[in-house]
Amino acid sequence: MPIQQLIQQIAWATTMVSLISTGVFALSYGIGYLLRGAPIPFREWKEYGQGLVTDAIKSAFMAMLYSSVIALISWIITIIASAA
Amino acid sequence: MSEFVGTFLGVSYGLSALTWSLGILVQTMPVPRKEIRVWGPCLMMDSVVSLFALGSVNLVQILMRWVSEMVSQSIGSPFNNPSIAMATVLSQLTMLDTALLLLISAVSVTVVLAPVASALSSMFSHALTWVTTAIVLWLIAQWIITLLPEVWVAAYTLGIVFFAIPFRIGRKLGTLLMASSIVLAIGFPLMPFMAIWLEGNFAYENSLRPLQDLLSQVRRNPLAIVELIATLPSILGNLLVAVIISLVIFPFAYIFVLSVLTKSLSNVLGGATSGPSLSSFTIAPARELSSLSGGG
Repeated sequence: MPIQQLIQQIAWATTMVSLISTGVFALSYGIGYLLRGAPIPFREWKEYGQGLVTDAIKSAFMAMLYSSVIALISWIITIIASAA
Repeated sequence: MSEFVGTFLGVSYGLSALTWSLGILVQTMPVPRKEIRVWGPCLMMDSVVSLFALGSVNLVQILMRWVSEMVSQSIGSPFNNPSIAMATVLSQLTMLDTALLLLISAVSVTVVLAPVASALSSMFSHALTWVTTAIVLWLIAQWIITLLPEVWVAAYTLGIVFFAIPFRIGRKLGTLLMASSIVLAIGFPLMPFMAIWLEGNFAYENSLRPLQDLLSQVRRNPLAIVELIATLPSILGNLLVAVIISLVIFPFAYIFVLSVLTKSLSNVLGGATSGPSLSSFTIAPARELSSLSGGG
């Protein structure tokens, strides 16, 4: 397999995974609120729902942060290289 | 070679992005299994580490230059270039090999000394084998040193490609490639310098300094020449030992030390870790669900 094709396939897989992640955020967020708001007398289930909501928000935030992470890493490496 | 480096950097950059996305997907999945969800933060951390490794190619080059300069300065070698040092080593070994061969053949020619020749050949055959092996080893080392400046970056970036594969599939191979390229690129060009430094120290302490002392004694007292003649064989023997230790035994020991360093550096870079530990990450829903299932 040519390398360019491999890179394209990796980029395609990354895009697909990101799209699926977006769907899964929404699903987790929905399930989380469903569990939180459900009229069930189990406190653990409600806490689990709250955890799902928190994780969905955290993951959505991390998904947006990727370019910032790259910028931060390149900034740190530039500082170290210029200091050396 | 730079074309390969660019391609490897592109592939590892893509794999890092894929690992990050997979980490987010795994973290956000509404699956009540802690051992699956624990991979989420681990994958994101692996992605960040491989991005750091991607950016660190220049830093490794700076580190290499610094270590080489530091070692060269501390050794104080008169050679600026590894190829000159290598030529010195090879010429000494070739002379030793030729001298041993000439000695045996010269003694073998005379019929009277035939028993001595057979005894000498049985004594020196192992030495000859080892010296020839050392010549072959030094020639291989010279070939590697010539190739290293172009090859090590490609090997390092290929290591990052394996390192960046999601779920730590190629992590061991990746760290091994990265560590071996760093250690070889720094350590291998220093091998001829170290050998000559070692040879100089051994030869000076055991042969040249006693010879200098004896010569100064002879200048003051000409009768001391008898002592000089008596100690000359031991001085020559010590010189030969210095050459054999530093040029024949030393390269094998040095390569062994480099392999141990490579293994240690590979472990430091993360080659020893197999997967995320459940105790190192705490994910709220998984913890809550495990207590939920525990509680009934």
